[in-house]
Amino acid sequence: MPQSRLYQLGSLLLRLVVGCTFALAAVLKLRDPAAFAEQTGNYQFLPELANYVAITLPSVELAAALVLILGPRLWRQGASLVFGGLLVVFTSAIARAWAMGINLECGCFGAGSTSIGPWPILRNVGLLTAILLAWRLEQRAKLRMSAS
Amino acid sequence: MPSYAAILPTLVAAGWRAAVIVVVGASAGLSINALRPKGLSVATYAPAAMCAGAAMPQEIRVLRPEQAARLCGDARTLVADVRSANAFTEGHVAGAVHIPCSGSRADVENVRRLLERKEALVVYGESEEQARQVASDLAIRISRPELSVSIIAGGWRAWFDAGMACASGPCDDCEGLASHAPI
Repeated sequence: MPQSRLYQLGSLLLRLVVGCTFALAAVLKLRDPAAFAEQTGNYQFLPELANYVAITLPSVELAAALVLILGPRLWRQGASLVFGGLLVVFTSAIARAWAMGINLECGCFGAGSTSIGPWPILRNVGLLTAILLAWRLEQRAKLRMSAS
Repeated sequence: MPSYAAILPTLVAAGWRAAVIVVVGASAGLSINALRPKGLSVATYAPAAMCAGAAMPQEIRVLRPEQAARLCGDARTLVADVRSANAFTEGHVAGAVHIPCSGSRADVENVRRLLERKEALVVYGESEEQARQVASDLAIRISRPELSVSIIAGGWRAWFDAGMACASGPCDDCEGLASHAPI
């Protein structure tokens, strides 16, 4: 198998992991937006925007997940940027609440999510790494193909 | 290693596509919400009640009535009664403010204001469970880890039976607490 193909396969696998994780999170949040608004408000970070976030964020996640898995390359990079930005914001919010000693549900997967702590932070760092790696592999595959 | 100059056009191209995804996704979310029979209000956020107890609490200490009584005279302590307005009017811990379970978001903001110069919050209700729910919810919303939050063991009845200082009548310090109104 040519190396460019391996890069593409690796990128696809990573995109599937990230895309499916976010798609699952989005569907679970869409099922109970009121609970998600409550969880978002509990972070006490611009709580007046909690409803707006609960209404729009799950569908943004779902749209970006679909593009990341199925979209053409340039659009996949756009979706990667969306997820990169979201993960930085999510991780900062969780770390802030955790550092303040507040024990609350992370809201990462809607109602019934785990409490904030090291696990959601590590998971987000893992997802962010996967996105960066997928982007890098795509770039390498493109370079390999243009070279051959 | 690609240079920044080489990466920049890629980032710009990805950036505007990211903006399109966000706009399309957010528009879809607003449309879905508008079609839901019980869609959320976009303009306002107000938790259903302080008793919702959806989140897990920070440490809530349980004080015996005599332990709580020692804190009551301290200017750095706020005592909160979470029972109904009628029960509060009939009798309450001397100096307590009334913060019922049905408190609104505006009430939480007023409690935050009342707690600005306080170091301890003592909450009591008809039962320990009622007080614990409100205390843990307030602890999360007020987000001050240094604030000591306690409840009174046995609630109002235990305080009353122990013969501790009681008062009756309306709340003197509840100005601004919209939900404090006799039912």
